[in-house]
Amino acid sequence: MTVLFGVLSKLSNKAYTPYGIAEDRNLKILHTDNLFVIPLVIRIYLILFFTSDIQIHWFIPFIRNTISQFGNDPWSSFIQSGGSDLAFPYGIGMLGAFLPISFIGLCVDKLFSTNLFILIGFKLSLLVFDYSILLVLALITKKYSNLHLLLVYWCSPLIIYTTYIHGQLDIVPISLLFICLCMIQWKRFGFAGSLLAIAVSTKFSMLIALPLILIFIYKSEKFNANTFTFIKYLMILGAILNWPIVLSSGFVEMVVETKEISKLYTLYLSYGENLKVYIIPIIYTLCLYQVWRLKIVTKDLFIIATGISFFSLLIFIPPQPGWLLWVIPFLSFYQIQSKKDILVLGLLFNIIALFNNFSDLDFNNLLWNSTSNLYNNEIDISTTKNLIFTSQQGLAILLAIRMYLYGIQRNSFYKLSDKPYAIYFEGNDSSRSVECALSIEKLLGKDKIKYEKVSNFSYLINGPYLRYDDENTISQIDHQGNLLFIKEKVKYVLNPRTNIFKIIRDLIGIEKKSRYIILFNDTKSKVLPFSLKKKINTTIVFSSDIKSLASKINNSYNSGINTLWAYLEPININLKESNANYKQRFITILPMGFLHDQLLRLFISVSSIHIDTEILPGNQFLKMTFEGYSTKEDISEIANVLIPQIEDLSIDKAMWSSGYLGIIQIILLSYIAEEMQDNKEIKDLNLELI
Amino acid sequence: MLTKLNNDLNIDYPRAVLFDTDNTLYEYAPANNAAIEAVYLKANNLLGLKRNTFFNLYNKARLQIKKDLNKTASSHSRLLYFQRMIELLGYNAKLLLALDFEQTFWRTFLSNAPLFPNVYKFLNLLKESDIPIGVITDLTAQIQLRKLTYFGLEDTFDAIVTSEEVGADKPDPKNFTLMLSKLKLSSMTNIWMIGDNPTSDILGSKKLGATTFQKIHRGIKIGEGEKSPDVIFSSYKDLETFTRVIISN
Ligand SMILES: [Mg+2]
Repeated sequence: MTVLFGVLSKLSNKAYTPYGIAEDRNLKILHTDNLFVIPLVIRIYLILFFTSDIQIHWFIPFIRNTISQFGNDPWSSFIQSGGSDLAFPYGIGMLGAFLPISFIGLCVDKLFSTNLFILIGFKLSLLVFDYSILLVLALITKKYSNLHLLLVYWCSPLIIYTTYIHGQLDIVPISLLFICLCMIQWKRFGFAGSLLAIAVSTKFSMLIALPLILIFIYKSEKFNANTFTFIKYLMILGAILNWPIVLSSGFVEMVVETKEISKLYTLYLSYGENLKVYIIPIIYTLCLYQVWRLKIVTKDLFIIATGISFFSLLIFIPPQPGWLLWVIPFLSFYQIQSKKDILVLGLLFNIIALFNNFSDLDFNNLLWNSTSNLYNNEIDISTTKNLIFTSQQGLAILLAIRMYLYGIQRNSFYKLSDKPYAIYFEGNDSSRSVECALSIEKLLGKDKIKYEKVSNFSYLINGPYLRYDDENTISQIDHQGNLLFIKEKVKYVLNPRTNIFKIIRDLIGIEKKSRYIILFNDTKSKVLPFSLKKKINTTIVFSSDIKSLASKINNSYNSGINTLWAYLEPININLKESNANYKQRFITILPMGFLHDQLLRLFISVSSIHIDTEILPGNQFLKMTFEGYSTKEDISEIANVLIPQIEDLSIDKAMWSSGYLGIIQIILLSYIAEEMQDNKEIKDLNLELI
Repeated sequence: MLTKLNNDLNIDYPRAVLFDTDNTLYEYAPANNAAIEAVYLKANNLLGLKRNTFFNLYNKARLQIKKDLNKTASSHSRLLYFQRMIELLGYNAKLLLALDFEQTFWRTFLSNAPLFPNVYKFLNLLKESDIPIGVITDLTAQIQLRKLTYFGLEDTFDAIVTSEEVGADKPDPKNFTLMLSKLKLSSMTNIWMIGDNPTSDILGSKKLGATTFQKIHRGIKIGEGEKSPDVIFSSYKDLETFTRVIISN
C-alpha cells in the first residue's frame, strides 16, 4: 500500500492537484469497507473454484503453447500444432497481460505436477486489471463516496459474471484504456500514449477512444510538446506491438479475420438494391462532432463522451458480452459523479444485460414457464428473448442519454462554447490595468485571451475606433475619423450577453475561438452605456480616485449591479512611492455573503497575513483589508481549496501571482468558476479597482 | 476499534470533553514529513543544500532549540529551527529566508493534514448535546489557531489553551487547570481528555482525575502503567457510537 502511494503521488505530481495524503487515506478506508471485502472474497472464490469453459478450451492451451514455444510466433505456432483458430482472437498486449502470472502458475504446476495453477494464475491476471479499474475510478472521481464507488463498480454483477464466471477477457483492454485516461488527466502523455498503444494491441476496438482522446488533448493543450509526446509514444509502441499483423500468418487468421469490424456494418438503411447507409459510423461521427464543437472539454465530459461512444456502439450492434463490459466503468464514472441512477437504472441494466447475454442462465425458460398461462401459445421463446433484448437496449439508450445530459450540464464551460467571457477594465490607471490583465492572461493562458480596446474615440490596438454613443447606437470610425459603420436602434432583447458580443464581434472581428476577452477602456468617463456595461461579465476599474468611493458604492448598489470593489492604499501615507519602505495594503469590498468567509479563513491560515474586516453601514458590503505579502505558492494553495472546479479551468498552476495581484486572481477566478459552473443565473460582477 | 482498558471505571456523561490537536485530530507524521520535504526542496533550490546536509542541520538545529527552550511552546517553533539551521550553515541573519522557510513549512503542512474521518461528526454530537469542548495543545498560539482555522473549527470550541499561554508544555497541570477555569469548571472528574501522547495527554490529565482516551494509529504506543489510558480508540466513528450510548443513557 505504501509503495502504491509512492507511485501514485510521483505519477500525479504534474496534475493540478496531485494525489496526496488525504487521497491516500480515503483509498485505505475504501479497502476496509465490507462492500470491498465481500466482492473480493467472491472473486477469489470464483478464481479458485470456478472453471470457465472458454478459458479451459481456448485461452489456457494457447497460453501454455506460447510459454512452451517461447520465442516463436504464438499464433502461427498454435495453429500449426493443431490448435483452434478461435482460441485467442487478441493481440500481443493481451498475451503480455496474462503471461507473467500464468507463467508463475505453470511453474507451480510443474513443481507439484498439477494442472491447476496456470488457470489460477490466468484468472488472477484478470483480477489485477479488474482492481485497476476500481483504483482508477477512485483516482479520477476524487470526491467519490465509498458506497457509490463500490456498489456501482466493484459489486457489479455484470463485471463479476462476465469476467470470473463466463471468463471473458475484455476487462483487460478497458482497464488499460482507463489507466490511459487517468494518465492524460495527470499530464503523463508519454505514459498515456504507451498505454493506449498496449490497449489497442489487446483489442483493436480500443481505437474507438483515440479520436476523442486526441480532441481532448488538442482542446486542452493545443499542438504543444505534450500532444506530440502522446502521439509519438502511441505510434512507436503501437508499431512495435502490432508486428504480428505483418509477420504472423496465424495472427491474421486468428485475430484480424475475426470480422469484429464487420459488426459495425450490421445496421443500415437500405437505399434501393445496392446502396446502404451505415448507422453506426454516423452515430459515432455525430458523437465526435458534439464534443469537437465545444470550446472547452472538461475532464468529466471527456470521460463521459468516451463512454457514450462505447454505449452508442453497444446500442446498435448485435449482442456482444464483451462490449457490455466496456461500458460499465464509464457508466460507473457517471453514476459516482452524478450520484444518479445507482440503484434503479444501473442495477436493472446490469441484471437485464446479464440475463440477456448468457443463455446458460436459462432465464428465458424461467420467464416463459411462469407467464405461459397469460399468453397464448403462439408467443415462443424467441419473442421473450427479443423482449429482454429490447429492454436491455432501451435501458442502454436511456442511460446514454442521461449520461449525455449530465455531461453537458456538468461541462461548466458549455455556456462559453459560443460566447466568450468578458473582463472589462476601465479607469485612469492604465498601467495597473495592464499589470492586472497580464497576470490574468498568464493564469488562463495566452492563447485563450483576446484583447480589445473599446473606448470613446480611443484606438484599438490594431484596429479601428469604436464608439458607443448611447444605449442604442454603435459606430465605428477609422483612424482618420471617418465613419465606417453605424448601427442604430440596436435592440438587446433575446440574450443580452450574446448580443453584445455579436455586435463587438461584427465590428471588430473578435475571433470566435477566444475563450476570454479582455476589453480595455483607458478613459475615466463612462463609455459603455449602462445597459451594455451590465452585460459584461466582470468589470475592473483602476483609478486613483479614492475619494468618490462611497458615492460609487452607493450608486452601484442602487443600480442593482452586484459590485465588487478593490483598491490599494499606502500603509504609511507620509512615505513617497519611490521610498524603499513604501508599502501598500490591499482593500476589497465584497457583497455580504460572497466569498469573504472563506477568503478570511484561508488567508489567515495558509498565508498568515493580516486581514481586517469591517461591515460597512447598511450591512450590504464587507470591507476586507489585506496587509502583508502572500507568495504565489500561498495563492495557489488557497485557490485549490477555495475553487473546487479549479481543475476544469485548465489554468497553469505556476502562473499564480504573488501579492495583491494574486488576491485579484483568486477573486476573479472563483467568480468565473462559480458563474460557469452554476446553472442558475448569477448576477454580473463588477470588480472595481480604484 | 474502541477498547475500554480500565474495567474498574464507570464512564459517565462527560461534563466536558478536551482535545489535544496534533496527532489527535489529524495524523501528524505525514504532514510533517511533506512539509519538511517542501522546505528541503526550497533550500536545495535557493542554497544548493544537499539532502543529507539539510536534514542533518535541521535535526541538529531542532535538538539545540529543544534543549535550550526545554518543554515550552517555543521549543517547537519551526521559525527558530530554521533560523538556527541557517546560522549553523554560516549565514548570519537571513531573516527573510527563515520566514520564507517557515511559511513554506506550514503551508505544506496544512494542505497535508486532513482531519481524521468523522471528527466533525463527533464534535457535532458533543455540541448538539451541549457538552463543552476545549482544545489543550502544545506549541505557539499563532500556528495552532491557524491550524484550527484551516480545519474550519475556529468557532467550534468553547475554550482553547496553548502551552504558549501557560508557559509550559503538557503534562504541566497548569494547562489543564487553565482550561478548567476557562470553562468555569472546578475539577477534572467526569471530564474526558482525548489525546495521542501517553505522557502529555494521558498522564497529565489522569493525575488530575480526568477520564482518558488515547487515539491510536500507526506509530502510536499505547500508554502503560501510570500512563495507561482508560479507553483506546482508532476511529472517531467508534468513539461517536460509544459516546452516543453514554449520552442517551
Ligand atoms: Mg499530540
